Amino acid sequence: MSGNSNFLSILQSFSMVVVYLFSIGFIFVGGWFLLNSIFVLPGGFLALYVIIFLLGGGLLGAWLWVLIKLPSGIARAFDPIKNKIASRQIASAEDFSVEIGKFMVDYFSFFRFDVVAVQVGIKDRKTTVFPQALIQHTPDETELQTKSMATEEVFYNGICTLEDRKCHTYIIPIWFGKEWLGYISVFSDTRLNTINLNFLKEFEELYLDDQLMHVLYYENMNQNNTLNINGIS
Amino acid sequence: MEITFSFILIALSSFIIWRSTDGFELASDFLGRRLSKGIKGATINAVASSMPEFLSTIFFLFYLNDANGFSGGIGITGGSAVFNILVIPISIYFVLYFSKGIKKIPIARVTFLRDGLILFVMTGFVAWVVNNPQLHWWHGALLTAPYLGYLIYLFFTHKKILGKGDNFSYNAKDKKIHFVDFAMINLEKMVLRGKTIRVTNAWWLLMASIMVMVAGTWMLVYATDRLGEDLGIPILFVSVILAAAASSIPDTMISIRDAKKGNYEDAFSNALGSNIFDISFALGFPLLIYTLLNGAIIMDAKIIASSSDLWFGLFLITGLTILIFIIGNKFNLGKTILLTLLYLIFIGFVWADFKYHIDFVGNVVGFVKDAFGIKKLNEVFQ
Repeated sequence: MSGNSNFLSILQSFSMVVVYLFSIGFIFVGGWFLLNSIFVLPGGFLALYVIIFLLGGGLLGAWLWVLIKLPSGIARAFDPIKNKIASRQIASAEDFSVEIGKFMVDYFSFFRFDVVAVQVGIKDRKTTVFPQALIQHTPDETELQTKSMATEEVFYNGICTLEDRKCHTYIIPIWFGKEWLGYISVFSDTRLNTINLNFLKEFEELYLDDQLMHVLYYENMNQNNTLNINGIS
Repeated sequence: MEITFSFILIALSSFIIWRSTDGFELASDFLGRRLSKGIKGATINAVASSMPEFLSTIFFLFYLNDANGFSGGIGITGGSAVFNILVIPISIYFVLYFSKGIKKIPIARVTFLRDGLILFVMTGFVAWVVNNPQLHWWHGALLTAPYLGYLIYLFFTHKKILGKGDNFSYNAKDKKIHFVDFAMINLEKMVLRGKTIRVTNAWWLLMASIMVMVAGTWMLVYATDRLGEDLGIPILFVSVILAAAASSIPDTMISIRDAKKGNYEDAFSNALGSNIFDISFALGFPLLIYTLLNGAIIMDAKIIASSSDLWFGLFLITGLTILIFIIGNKFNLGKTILLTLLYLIFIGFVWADFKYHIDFVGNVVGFVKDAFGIKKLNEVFQ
C-alpha cells in the first residue's frame, strides 16, 4: 500500500508542478506582450518585470505547494503519534498533551501560520505548555476552560505576551460527540486567516478527539480496571 | 570625473550586494534548516551565493536588450567563475595565515575531483555555446538542463537522503535601530527588530534582502555600462573583471567565514558549487527567457571572438586549478602562489585580448580545420 500511496503522491505533486508552471508561464508571456504592446518601456523596467515575476511566481508556488501538501503532510507527520498511542508508549493524558504541543509547534511552521507555543488542557488533568519555559506567561486556565466549553468552534482569544513577544491566541475546544474533553490554546505570531483556522478545526476533528479518547480509555483502564471513561461506557 | 563616479557606483553596488547577501543568507539558512545537507546546498545555498550573478545577467540582457547586453552576462558569469575558483582560495589562505597562523589547509580531494569535473565539463560546454553566431532558446535550455536535472533527481530521492539539519541557532539582536544600522544596511536588525527569527519574519527578511539585492545589481549593471562607454571598452571586458569582482564579494565573505569557523571543506566547495550554479542557471535561464520572448540573439563577430577566448581561458584555468587542488591533500603557500599567477595571467590575457583582438579560439579552430582539411570539405559541400 505504501508503494501505491507514494506513487500517487509523486503523481499528484508532478501534475501540480506542471499545471502551475504552464499557468504561470502563460500569464508571464501574456503580461509581457500586453505590456510591450501598450507601453514603450525602458529595458530596466522589463528586467524588473522578469525578476518580480520570477520571485513572485516562486513565492506563490511555494505557498500553494505548502497549502496543497498540508493535509497529506499532517497525516504523514502525525502517524508516529498514532503509532505511539497504539503501542501504548503514549499511555497518559499528560504524555499526549506534551506530544501534541511539540507536534503543533514543530509542524505548523509556515508563512503567516507559525505556531509559537501551545497550551493543552485536558478535563480534570494538569495543563501542559510547550515550550515548557513559557508556562508562567500563559493565560489563566480556568478562564480558557470555561470559554472552550461554551463552543465547538475554533475562536480568537485576543493578544497575549509570551516573554517579550506579542502573540495571537486561538482556542481549539476538543469535543468527542457531546463530551467536552478539553482545549488547546494556540499562540501564533500573526493573526490566522480563515483557511488556516479551518486547518486547525480539521486537525481537531480528524486527529485529536479520537486519539485523545483512546489515551483516556487506556489510562482509565490502567487506573480503575474499568471501561467507563468520563461517563461514556 | 565621470569615470570616477562610475567606479564609486561599482564599489557602492558591491557593498549593497554584500550587505543584502547577509540578510538573504540568514533568512534562507533559517527557512532551509530542516532540509538535508545535499538538498540545502543545491537549492538554498546555491541560490544565496549566486543570486547577484543571476540578477546581473537578467539586467544586462533586458536592460541593454542586445547581443552586447548578453556579452555583459557572459563576462560577469565568466569573470565570477574565475574569481571564485582562484581568488576565494587565495583569500582563504591569507586570512587563515594571518589570523590563525595556519600554513597548510586540509582539503577533501574527492569532493574537489567530483565537483571540479562537473564544472570542467560545464565550462567547456559554455565555451562551445558562446562560439555560436546565433544563440537560441535551446542553448539556454541546454545550459539550464543539468541544474534542473539535478533538482529533479533530488526531488525524487530526497527521502533517501538521511540526516535532517535543524541545528540552526540564532541570538536575537538589540531592538534599537541606530543610524549606523541604516548606513550599513543591516537588514537583519531593521526587519527582525530584536525578535527571534521565525518563519514569517524570515520570509519578510528574505524578500527585503532580494529587493535590496535587485537595487544593488541594477546599479552595478548601470555603472558597468557607463564605465564601458566612458572608457571606450566593450562591456564584456569591464564586466569580466570589475563587475564580476563586485558580484563575487559575497561568495568570498561566505567562504572566509566558513574557513574561520574551521569548515574548510564548505569554504572551498562553495567556490566550486556556486560556479556550477552560475554557469548552468545564472547564465542559462536568463538566456532561455530572453530568447523565448525576443527570438535568437545575433552575436557580433568581435563579441564571439572575445567571449570564446574568455571561456576557453576559463576552461583551461578550471582544469589547471583542479589539478593543483587534487595533487596533495593540503592547500599551502606554493599552491596559493600558483593560483595568484593564474589570476594575473588571466587578467593579462583579457587585457591583451581587448588590446590586440587575439581571437585565439578562432585561430586555433581555423588552424585545426585547415590541418584536417575540414574547410575544403565544407567548401565542396557548399
